[in-house]
Amino acid sequence: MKTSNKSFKILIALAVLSVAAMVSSLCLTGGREVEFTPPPFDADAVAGTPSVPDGFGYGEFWQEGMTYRFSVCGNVTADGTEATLYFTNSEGNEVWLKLRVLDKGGKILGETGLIKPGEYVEKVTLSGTFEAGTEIVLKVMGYEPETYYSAGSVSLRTKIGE
Amino acid sequence: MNIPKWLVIALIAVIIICLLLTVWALFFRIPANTPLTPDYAPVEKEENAENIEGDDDTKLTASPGGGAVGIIYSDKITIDLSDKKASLYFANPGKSLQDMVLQVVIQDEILVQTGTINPGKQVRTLNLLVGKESLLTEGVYEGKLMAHYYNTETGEKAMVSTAISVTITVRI
Repeated sequence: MKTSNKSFKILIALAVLSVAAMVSSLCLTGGREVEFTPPPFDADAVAGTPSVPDGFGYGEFWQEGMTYRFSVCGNVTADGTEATLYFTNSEGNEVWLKLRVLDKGGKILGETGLIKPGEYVEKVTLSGTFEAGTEIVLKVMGYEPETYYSAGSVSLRTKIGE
Repeated sequence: MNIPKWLVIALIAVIIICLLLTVWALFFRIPANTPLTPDYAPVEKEENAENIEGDDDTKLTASPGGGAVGIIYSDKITIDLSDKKASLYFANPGKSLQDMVLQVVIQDEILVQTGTINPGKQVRTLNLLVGKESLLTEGVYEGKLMAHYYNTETGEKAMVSTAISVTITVRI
């Protein structure tokens, strides 16, 4: 079979283009790293200290070595998908905090946005409804302001109360 | 010029295969699981960190959720105000399970703060933080070397830090 030079050049160009298209498409649709995105501040954050009704087990938590204090309800109650916990970033802290609710397997059930020192959020929305007695973990995560570097985390085991 | 027949066939085959793979990648490829966004911003790596020669990176053991580190350090530090540098020795052995960030502190004033020092890395020279040389004068200070620990995968900081008493000699 005789092929003209012109046709051969076109064939080579098509081959190069098709290889380039293949490499590009494989790269674009492959896995890639996701860059860090700063978590948002909680739109429901309230300045001040909450007035928590009796029975919620609300108290401040701090232990030697911790670089921040926070308050939260030990008795977390749920109404549908809303869990009431009065999560508070203590005045005087120098970090931003957020709280994540996990099941005992570590799956995230819900989380607050960031709150600044002197702010609190009353509720967090969960991914579903959970019966009283369900074991959960409240993970408080600290962030250094502006840089969003970790300032350490604390995990508390509790249960959904009645 | 006679173009070999096999070359033409090979080129056509390449084109067909590439086109088929392109169509598959664009329309039929099962997307990789969406990577999770990191929880924390990554701390930049320390530019002055270098590999530890002859390091054994057999890892320490730790309970789930915990960590284990080894550190090697000198308790004497020299600060040269003209160079705005601190000379010291600190190593995060390869057997450690955590990244480290180091601070040189005098009277609660942080003079040096490193980037991340990964397991298997050491530092001998560090830069003073901008403007800190103006706080020091020639002489000897008692200070602290603070080591902070970070999960190598999540970047989460451990609540436990190490404070090491050091003698800091400041020279002009």
